[in-house]
Amino acid sequence: MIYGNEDVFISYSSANYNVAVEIKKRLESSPRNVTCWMANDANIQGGDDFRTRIVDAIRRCKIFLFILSNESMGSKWCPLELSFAILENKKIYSIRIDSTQLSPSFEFKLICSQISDGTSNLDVVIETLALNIKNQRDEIIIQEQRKISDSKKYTIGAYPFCHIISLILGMTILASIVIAIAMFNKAGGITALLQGNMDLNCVEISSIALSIATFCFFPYVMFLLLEIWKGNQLRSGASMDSPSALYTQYLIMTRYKLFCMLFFRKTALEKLQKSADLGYVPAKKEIERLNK
Amino acid sequence: MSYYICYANEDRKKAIELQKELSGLGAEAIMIDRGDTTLLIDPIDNIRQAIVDCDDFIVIHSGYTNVSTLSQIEITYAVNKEKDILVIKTDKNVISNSIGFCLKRTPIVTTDMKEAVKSIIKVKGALYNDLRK
Repeated sequence: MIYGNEDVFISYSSANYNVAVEIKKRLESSPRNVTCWMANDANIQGGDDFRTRIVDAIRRCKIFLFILSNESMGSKWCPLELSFAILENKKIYSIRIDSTQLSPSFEFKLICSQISDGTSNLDVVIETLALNIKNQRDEIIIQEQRKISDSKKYTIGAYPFCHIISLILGMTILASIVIAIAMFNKAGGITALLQGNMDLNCVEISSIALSIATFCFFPYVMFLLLEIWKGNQLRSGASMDSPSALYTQYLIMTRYKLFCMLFFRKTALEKLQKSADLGYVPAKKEIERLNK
Repeated sequence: MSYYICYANEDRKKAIELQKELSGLGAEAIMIDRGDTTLLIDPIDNIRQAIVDCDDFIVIHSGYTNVSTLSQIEITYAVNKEKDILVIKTDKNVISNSIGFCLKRTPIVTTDMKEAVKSIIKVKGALYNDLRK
């Protein structure tokens, strides 16, 4: 089954099905129509595990709308859906459609969000709520887009200078070694060296190349270590799929293993935790493994 | 004396650390597990009850707290129940307006939970005497 990315999850008791459908209709109407998901036969087919479908739908949605009534408060699943949405940090909206008092549990769960009162003029309240949800949805989309553009900005890492310099030095060392070997072979190789009849011009070029490689080696190691040390400073929320981020993840794990080898286990774990907090997958996996 | 520890899931380790430190001093520190990610367990009722039952309320604040719906609910509810709220600020993130609005005390700024407990004792002198008995 292919899932979409619905904007709103509508949580309702089956006794309030008609109200839920009406709200869905208003929300999906143009302009700026939003997409809604509700647990009904259209979304949950026979044989499906409805809990998995509901959990997936809540995770995918941007806004959670709770239809508050005597029936939904007494229902087995609606309170669980609301709790799950809270744990998933969803923006919660609620509409009260009868005059039942809130139970302490619902008073707690809905304490941070204003409840729309649909007991007197349901039509008008639904209309206003639909407009509010549309505005909120647009705001969430803008925030998500901003986050994506920020992540693009920072995927190169906090130390792009070290990245570039160590890359240039590394390439120079590699090229110098290749040139040195090639020139050494051109000069006659080991046989010529033993016989003492090497081409001196080639030997000279080979030794210059070797000197360059030696000269570059120390700064290369220095920049590489600096990069390994500071590699976890990629901004929180950055995309973890870019080649640069993957490279940084690799550096973080190398650093962790290096520190563990050098008996700085506590520091290594602290740094690993920081990386995991930033969302680095290998670091997260390593922490999970260690916790087990 | 009992404390309720409010934390975002990502700060669980810090919360456990704080709980250990407080328990070491003989205080009761309550931490409620956020439950699993299925529709089988609802930890939220337990959380509400624990907030009602506690004497004081401690928030472990980080960037994650600002975006945690549950933490915001817990803090608002604790304010409604007139609990004394202590905030331990554990990173550079500014306390969001919606949380800051609920707070009266200046936050304790530290990442070290031993230091945090020392500051809590300083703020709540009476507790210190209780705990030393």
